Amino acid sequence: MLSDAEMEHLKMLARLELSETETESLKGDLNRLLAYFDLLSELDTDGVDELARPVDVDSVFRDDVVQAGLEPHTVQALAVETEGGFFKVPRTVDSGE
Amino acid sequence: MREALARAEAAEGLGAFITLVPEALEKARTLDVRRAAGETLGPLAGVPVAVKDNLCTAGVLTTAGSKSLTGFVPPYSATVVERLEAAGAIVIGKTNLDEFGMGSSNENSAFGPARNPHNPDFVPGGSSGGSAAAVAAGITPLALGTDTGGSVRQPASFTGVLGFKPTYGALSRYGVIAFASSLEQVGVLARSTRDLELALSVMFGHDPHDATSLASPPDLTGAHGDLTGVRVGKVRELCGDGNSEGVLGALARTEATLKALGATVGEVSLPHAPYGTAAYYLVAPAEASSNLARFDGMVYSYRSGEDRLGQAEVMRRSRGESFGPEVRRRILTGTYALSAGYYDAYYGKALKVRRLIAGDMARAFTSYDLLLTPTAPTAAYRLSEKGDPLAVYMGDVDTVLANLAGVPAVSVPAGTAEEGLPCGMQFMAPALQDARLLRVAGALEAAAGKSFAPVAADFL
Repeated sequence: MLSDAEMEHLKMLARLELSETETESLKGDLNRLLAYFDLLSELDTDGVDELARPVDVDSVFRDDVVQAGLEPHTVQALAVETEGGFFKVPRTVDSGE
Repeated sequence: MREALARAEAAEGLGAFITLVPEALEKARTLDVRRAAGETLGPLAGVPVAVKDNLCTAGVLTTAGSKSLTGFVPPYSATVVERLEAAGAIVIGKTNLDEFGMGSSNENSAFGPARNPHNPDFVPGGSSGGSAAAVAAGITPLALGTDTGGSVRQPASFTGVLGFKPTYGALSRYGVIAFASSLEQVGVLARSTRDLELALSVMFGHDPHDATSLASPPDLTGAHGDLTGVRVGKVRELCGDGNSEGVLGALARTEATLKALGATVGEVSLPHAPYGTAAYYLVAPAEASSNLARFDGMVYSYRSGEDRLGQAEVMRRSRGESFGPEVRRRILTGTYALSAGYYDAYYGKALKVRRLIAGDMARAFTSYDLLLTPTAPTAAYRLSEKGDPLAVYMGDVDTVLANLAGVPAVSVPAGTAEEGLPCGMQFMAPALQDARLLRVAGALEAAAGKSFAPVAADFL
């Protein structure tokens, strides 16, 4: 069972802000899902390799040739905020104000 | 084209489309002029298609059914869309879906639910619910969807049309707004096998923009012909009392038709099939939690909160406000499954079970050419009927296997089940044997004596 502290940790890892009601309801859902996933512990999987993707992909490198890409102004038009040709993001360093 | 757009507008109450593309009319006129001038046009020239709204379309709003992509107009199109257009197809609209493809009823869309054309009180299935509704209602003969755990096949089953998920890697995922990259494939919904084949054949082929795209696509030359001697294995674990009476009746009818067409039908066991849903609902959310990390309100996507709050707080608020309940649930589940101390017990365990399931299927395919199961254990249910997320997940028991193993699968209409609503049967084939699925779908379609007709919907 997920404790309240674990739930808070999980919200932090997932960068999700949730109201108290939402947190409580999701915690309930998660606990029921985790109980369901216990079904898998019935299976002995010792010595079984993980299958992360269904087809093997060998080398995906291409030759280092310059290709056309999107123009900077096209890409910046999709941004939340730009200024003088730069992306503008919320401040990252707390200046202690 | 005019008619397709008019039908789409008239059927607004279906909620099949998030955005319509009125410019489609102009494109159709241009094609008419080129045809009149004696130009040879592509095999899909002038065919109206509907495209699920998690596929990028240059210059056309693309939402993925989420508030987090508000106002996103992609500067490029998904490779599959580009190839359909190059063959002459014209996109008339972007279809409704569960947010980011996460759901099985189309009720998790930020733009409201889509409805089942057979009865608007019922869900059309999901997550490609809008695409299925558009094809079933006769708005377009073809639609693109995406199928991560059954999101093309299950809505096809619920609305009485064909739904095809190719071998993993057969269709490019470039321009698909990613949900679970090792599981998802673009898929096609149609009312005739011929249309399915045509669409697949113009979209197949390696795409250098997608590292998982196969070097050589499945060969479709065996897509026609009768079923004499074709060995069909009915999956024991999925053909029993977990299904509704109506679905079991449809299964029995399909089995009888297959035999009448010269196929042999035997029973085969996939011992790990009952664990597929649990494995899938760990792997898919784990990949989703990683893929959706990019929607953080920093450079792109929905941003909430003022600059002075700082980056971390703005990120948390933006994500908390813009993701719907199911997306949050999956992000948290996936984050948990991947977190330190739990990886081996959850994500790692699920990947091992995935290997066991793929092994079961490989063994079954040594004795059978095709595997048969219902596409879903029930026909469509009423909107708001299933409040419990786990109950919804359980409905994916038949379809998740093909995604876990990367094999192709199709849902073929199999008449009606409960309350006069349609249901479909699923066939799975070994990787790259997509042609076998077209062959069985074509044979069943011919046996039914007609194409799978659009609903004579009275909402139009």
